[in-house]
Amino acid sequence: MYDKRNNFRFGASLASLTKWPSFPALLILILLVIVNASIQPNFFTMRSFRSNFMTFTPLVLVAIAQGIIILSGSLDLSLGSAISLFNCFTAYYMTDENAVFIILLGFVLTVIATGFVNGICTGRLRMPALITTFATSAIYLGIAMIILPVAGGYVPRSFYNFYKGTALGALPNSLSILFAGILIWWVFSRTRAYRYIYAVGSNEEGAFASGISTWKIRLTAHIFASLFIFIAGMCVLMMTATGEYRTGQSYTLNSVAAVVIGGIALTGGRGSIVGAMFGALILGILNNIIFFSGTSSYLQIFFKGAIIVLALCIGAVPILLRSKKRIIGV
Amino acid sequence: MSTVQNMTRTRMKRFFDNKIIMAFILVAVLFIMGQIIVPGFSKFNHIMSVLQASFFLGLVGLGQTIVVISGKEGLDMSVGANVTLGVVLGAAIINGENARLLPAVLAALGAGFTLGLVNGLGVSLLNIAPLIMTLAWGIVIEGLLLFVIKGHMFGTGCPALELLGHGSIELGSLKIPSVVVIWIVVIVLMWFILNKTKPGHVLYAIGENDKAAHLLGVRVNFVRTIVYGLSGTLSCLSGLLLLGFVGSAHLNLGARYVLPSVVAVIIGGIRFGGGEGNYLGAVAGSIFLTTLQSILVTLELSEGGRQLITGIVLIILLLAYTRRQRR
Amino acid sequence: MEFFEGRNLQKRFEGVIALHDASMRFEGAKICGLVGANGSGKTTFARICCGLVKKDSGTILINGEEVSISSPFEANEYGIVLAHQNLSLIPDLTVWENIKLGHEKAKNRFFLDNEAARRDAEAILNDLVPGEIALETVVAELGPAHKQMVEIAKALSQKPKLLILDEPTAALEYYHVEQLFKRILQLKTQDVSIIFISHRLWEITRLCDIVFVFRNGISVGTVDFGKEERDASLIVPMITGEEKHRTFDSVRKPKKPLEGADVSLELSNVSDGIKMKDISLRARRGEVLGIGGLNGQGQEELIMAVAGAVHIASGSMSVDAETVKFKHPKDAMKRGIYLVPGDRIVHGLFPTHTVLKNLIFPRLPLRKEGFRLNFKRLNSLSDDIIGRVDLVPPDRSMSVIKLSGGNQQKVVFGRWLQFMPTILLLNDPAKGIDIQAKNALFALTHELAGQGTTVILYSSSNEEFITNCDRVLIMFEGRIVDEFGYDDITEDNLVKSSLRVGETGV
Repeated sequence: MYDKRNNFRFGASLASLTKWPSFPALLILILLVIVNASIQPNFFTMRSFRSNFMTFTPLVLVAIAQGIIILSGSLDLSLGSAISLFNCFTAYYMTDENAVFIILLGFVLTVIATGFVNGICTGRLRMPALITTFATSAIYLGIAMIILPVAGGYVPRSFYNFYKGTALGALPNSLSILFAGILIWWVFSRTRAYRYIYAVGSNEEGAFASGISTWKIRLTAHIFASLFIFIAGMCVLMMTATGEYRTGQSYTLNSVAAVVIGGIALTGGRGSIVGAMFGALILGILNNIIFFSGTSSYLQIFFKGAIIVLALCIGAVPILLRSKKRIIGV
Repeated sequence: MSTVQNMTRTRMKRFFDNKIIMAFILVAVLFIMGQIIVPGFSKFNHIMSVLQASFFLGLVGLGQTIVVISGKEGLDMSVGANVTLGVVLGAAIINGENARLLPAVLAALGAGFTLGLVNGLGVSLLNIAPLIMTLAWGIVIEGLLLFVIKGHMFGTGCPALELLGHGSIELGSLKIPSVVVIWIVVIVLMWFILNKTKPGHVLYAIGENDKAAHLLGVRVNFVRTIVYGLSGTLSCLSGLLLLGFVGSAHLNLGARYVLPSVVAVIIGGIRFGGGEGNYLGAVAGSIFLTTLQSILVTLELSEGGRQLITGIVLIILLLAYTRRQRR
Repeated sequence: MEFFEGRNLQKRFEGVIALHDASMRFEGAKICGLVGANGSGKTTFARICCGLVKKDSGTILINGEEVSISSPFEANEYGIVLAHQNLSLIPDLTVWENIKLGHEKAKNRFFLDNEAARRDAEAILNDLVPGEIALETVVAELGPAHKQMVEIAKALSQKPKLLILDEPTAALEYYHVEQLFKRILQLKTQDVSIIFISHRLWEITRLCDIVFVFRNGISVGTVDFGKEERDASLIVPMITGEEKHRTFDSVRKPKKPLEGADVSLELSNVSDGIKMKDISLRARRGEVLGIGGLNGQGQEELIMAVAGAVHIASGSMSVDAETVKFKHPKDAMKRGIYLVPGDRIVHGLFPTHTVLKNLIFPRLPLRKEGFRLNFKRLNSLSDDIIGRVDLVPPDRSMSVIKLSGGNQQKVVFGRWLQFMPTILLLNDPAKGIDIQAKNALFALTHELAGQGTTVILYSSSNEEFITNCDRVLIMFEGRIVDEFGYDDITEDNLVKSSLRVGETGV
């Protein structure tokens, strides 16, 4: 495997690079980009670059959201439904005049749903994360279905034009949105709460013993994630320009897979969000590869599911190796 | 307060603490409400038809029950895909001929079991959280089915199957649906197996404390894997019988069983962490949810509304039953 | 801290009373020792003071004012800090991040001042363990001694007014202990009070100004070294509850002639690659063999290996002269090797299940029952056992979680009475249970030994070795380092050998 940038000059720095938990993901990403480029004829054109990022951006944002929640030792299965809810709500109520106001309402809705409801239930009320977010997922999806049982609603043309447009000639707007999201994450990663998220995810008892309020940190993680769900929801809205309750569905499990591929342990406390971003890109490129390889659309769904299962299995292995509970073989 | 009053209070408290009884009371309440909303709701025939419809959820719920009892926050989210598999497999193999019923049953049992084993392996050997593992694997099964079907359903059920799934038995002047009879047999059988046999005891043990079970000689991973296989079998079988009930089928038939089967189990008081619970509770839960659905449909609530209500019911149950303790 | 007092503290966990009536008070910057046997409540006391655990009743007063401490955060506000035994470190964070955890300084509104944090952490660490630990190391990669030092550094970094150290020296090397003591004495001059919890009486007598003794959850006495001699023998009687001459709770079992008996268990150069190294031993039929030494020297792993629960990497094991290779506890059980695990709730019981279910369970994997269970027979079988162990209350349909610790242990032990054990493995069976239950258990053990069962006993109490064993082996750092025959099993010998006297300066 040859690194594109040919980093074989400094052996020592290369060695420390391999220890970086996001490193395998980066390698896989580079490999897949090469594969994609070879089977998709116009991969390196501006047009393809732009359209790729239109689909990639929401997934990367959701992966960041899921990554933060998983790092805190939890997991949220309702992220996709929250996006569907945002999507249907805004598309249904939006008109040219009240667009901004509705978007703001949608923002509040998302923060309450993904942030407060899930955060309080799993953090303060200590309900088991998986099944609780599964339940809230049904609730959010249900509301979305009530609002828009069939696809419809209205999204101003300008939104779609903006999302598929570029600035400064070559920078796709969708990519700029992604950069903005990454910037927000980067700022957050320098705060005390961010380190506490790792602490709670790695050793919840120890974090509590160190004076950290674990439920507040869990809530913080969820609220921060909800911000990214909002941005992702906006992207999806602008991308599809319509309200449809099915739009959000694939994001849930894909975000989990992206996080696992990116080297973040599902048990929490370990790994880097950068890995989750790589993981999301990997999934995006994989989708391209599957699409351009010409397999039937039915088989595509199978493959997408299989990838998730594979990612879970591979992700389970390091955890297995790490927990050497030798006294009891269970 | 005298001792007699005290005793009655404790007995009353124990009565209401018994989740199964609570579940059946809820069912009764629901039927009363149903009668108010739709006169004739609680007539014998209609009750029978509700029970008939509940059977399929109840069979799926049986698989869910044993998976939850087996511990580690066990759940099987692939039941929907397996139900659909049962429908598709049944239709394809039987294709109208009675003689092909038995091979179809065997195929359904085999396929469901094998697919369920994959879940079991992921959960036992790789330690992947059951909810996620089964959710993901369910998607794979669905995708495979979609591909094989290529969007078109082919084949149909057969008269024998329709008799099983849709027919009834006459008992004097009462018509009792065949599936209700089957269900009663299953309930009795399960009660016996879970409470009075070796496998039943072992199942509860690994759910209650798998470390202790391991040290006492149980091959925990093996047992768990088998349990998930059985859950696959049961939902596949349910799908096959569903084919007889509905007559023809479409592809989304199975998905609507996933969430309700989980809710039914929790309504029934089966402990989410494993090691405790009774199938009878899941039976009550299945009847409750099916009845609720039917009432909501009568009230012309949309599918979204029904999903919303089911989700809210689940959240309330989770709040009541599953909060982790702080020291 | 000018004046600290804990008065009549009580705490009960799920059926076990950890603290019954514990009190402690002292004035000014003192080094207070807190000692007591296992189960005396000293750790629970410490956890209440630092907010990890909520007291059921009692008062805590600081400088004369009653305070309520309901979380570690609140305890820190009062200046009370606990240095845990490796509980509060975050494995995936670095050393300096851990040291500063919970009290980081911010550069401005949102961002952390990491440079200052690193400098601080370095300073504290260098005071304790100069030049040994790199700041950027992830804690998961540290050895236990270094982890403990980081834990202590973390406590110090919070500038405590009252520092509680819970068994700080258990994991440390000798020279670490010296460094620590120096630092503690330094803290005293800086007006910091210290509560020092330890098993090691020589450390207590060396370091402390005043010693508080707990026993069975009650504070039973104080020794003030300002007024009396620094003599451990002043403390010991209060710990054990006897007068000057130590007499045992039970009568010692008589010497048994075992030379002619068959060898039922033999280990040759067994190691598991982690904790056990090159273990060789022989045990005969009817022998009660003790495996002693300090906690965590590999005794548990040895017992688990014989039980089939720990994988043996090299060496061989034979039972009744037949070589065996256990891949699963079931293999051991089939040969009549039965285990009474160390942690009865986590490893031994099905907590919400009935006594009946817990007692008869081993019959299932051992194939002594068919598909359908014969409850008439099982009921009478369990009633039998209940009678033999004298279970209180003798109710087979009771949930075992509701039983007292001693009775729970009777269930764990009793389930083996329905079989004829070849080898009975006891992993600290009497830990934390009452005297009556303990005596009952050991009486049954000797009954079984009399019928030819080989008993391997690990205990955290030397007294149990003295009373019950024919022979005792001492383990240290995974190896068997000493062997004592019946006549040589004395408190003195056991203690000295466990501590490898000469290296720790007893």
